[in-house]
Amino acid sequence: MNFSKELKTGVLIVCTIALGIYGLNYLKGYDMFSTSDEYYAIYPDANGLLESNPILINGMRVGKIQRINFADDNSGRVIVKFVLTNTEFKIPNDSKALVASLDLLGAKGIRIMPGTSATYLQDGDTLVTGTEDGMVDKLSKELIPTKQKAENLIQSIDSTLQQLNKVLSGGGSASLQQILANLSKTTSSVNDLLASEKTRLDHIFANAESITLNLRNNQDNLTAIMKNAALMTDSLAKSNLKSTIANADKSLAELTKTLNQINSGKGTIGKLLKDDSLYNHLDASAKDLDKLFIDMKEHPSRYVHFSVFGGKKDSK
Amino acid sequence: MSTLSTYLYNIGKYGIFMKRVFSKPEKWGMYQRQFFIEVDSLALGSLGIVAFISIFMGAVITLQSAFGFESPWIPLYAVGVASRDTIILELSPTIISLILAGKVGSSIASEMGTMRVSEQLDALEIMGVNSAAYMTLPKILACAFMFPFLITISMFLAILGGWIFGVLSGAVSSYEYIYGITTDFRVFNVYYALIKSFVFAFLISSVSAFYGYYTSGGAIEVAQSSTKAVVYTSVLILVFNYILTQLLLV
Repeated sequence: MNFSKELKTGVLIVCTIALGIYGLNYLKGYDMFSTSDEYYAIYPDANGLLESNPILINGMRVGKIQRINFADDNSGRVIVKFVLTNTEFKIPNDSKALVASLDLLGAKGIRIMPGTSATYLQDGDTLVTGTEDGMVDKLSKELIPTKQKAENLIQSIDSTLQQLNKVLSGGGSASLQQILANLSKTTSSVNDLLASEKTRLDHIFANAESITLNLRNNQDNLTAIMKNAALMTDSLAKSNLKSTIANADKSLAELTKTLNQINSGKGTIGKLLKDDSLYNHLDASAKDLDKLFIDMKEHPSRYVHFSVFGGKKDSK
Repeated sequence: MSTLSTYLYNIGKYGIFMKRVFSKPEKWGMYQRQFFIEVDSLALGSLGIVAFISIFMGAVITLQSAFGFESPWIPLYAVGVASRDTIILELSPTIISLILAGKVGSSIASEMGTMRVSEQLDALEIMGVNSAAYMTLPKILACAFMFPFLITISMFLAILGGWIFGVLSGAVSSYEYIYGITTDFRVFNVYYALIKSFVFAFLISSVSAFYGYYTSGGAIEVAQSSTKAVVYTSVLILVFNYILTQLLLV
């Protein structure tokens, strides 16, 4: 069949226009030959979302943003209309549509966190929304407190330096110089001292050395002494010191009791000490004896008959 | 004559030629028949080479982008973005126009030149036909009307070719490429490309016809005119490419 030039031209033009329209729409994010569901999400802030940014469910790309508009009520909220071309997964109606950062460069998208509900969203429904922190957001969130801390630190360092400056400028530097001069004097005196007393110090050190040397030389003896001491204390610990002391204690208690009895004049010894009747008797006896001796002295004859020749025995 | 005044002379001559071309036609029906003949030979005849070049151009630019973006910092879908923007902004309108300047421009210039040296144009003049308009206007209209369609097809095929060969060679995944070509798409880029291709079509057809129409001599002069036509058309395409980009995009 022989086509006329007009027909061929017409076919080319129509085909190209169709191709152009389909291609443009495809690049803009509408695929005309696939079934798709439309959903809406309302955000207080678009957060950098752009048309044709992807929609992800569990990391799968299921669609793209078709249009972003302000809400009609002039509240400044942003209505995001998106189209899901992959409709195999039914979205539970408590799912959340989060604005998410997808890569380091800051490309945004909507991540749908599937809910657990058993009822599913229908074509044209509006999702619950939220925002997910991207890497950059997280980083900046963590950086800001650190920055504040660093600022505080720098401020305190600054004030410290100012104080130091004040100290140094307000006569402080003079005193500091004086301190340094004194320190230098002190060190020089110490130097002098060390130089002049060198011999003595040497002696001291030598003595100390000899002491330690002696100690080292007598180490065996010292060890023996220590051993003996250890033995002694050991045998002391082993000996029945406790019962001995207890016995001694008991004896002392007995003794105390005895002494108490003696003191209170009980018993023979007590009576001996406390009762003076014996003494009185002895005293009287001594006096009598004394009288007797005096009498004997004066009148010995009364008591002693001395006769060289035996005489008169009954001559009185 | 100095070089500058030669250029100015030729520009003036071209202007007068254009005035003759766009004068009122004697008979619309004749022009209409001629228009479809030119559409068939200039536009439909170029469809094959445009399609072939576009597919391989798209494939190569995709592979080159994938090769250049082998960095962990650049997401692979950037290959799709880069290919799409390069194809739509520059490769399809400008490179295809340069190809067509070679194919269509030389054909117009040699056809007109041969008609001039074989005195067919003079015969037309004797018959009372405005030979400049009759021979040139249908060509200009056919090119200016049809080239945007060719460029549209070229863009489509180039992006398609990039997808096919990018995925086949494993340089980029289908998902990333499609994600890339649909990311941050600006429709104005396509309008800009079509405006460019319209202007280039006008330049190709009119400048080639001008050089062919004013051929004098024999076969060697026809060849020279044809060469001149292609060279000047290419230069003008590149100059106007810059001017239009500066006017429309910046």
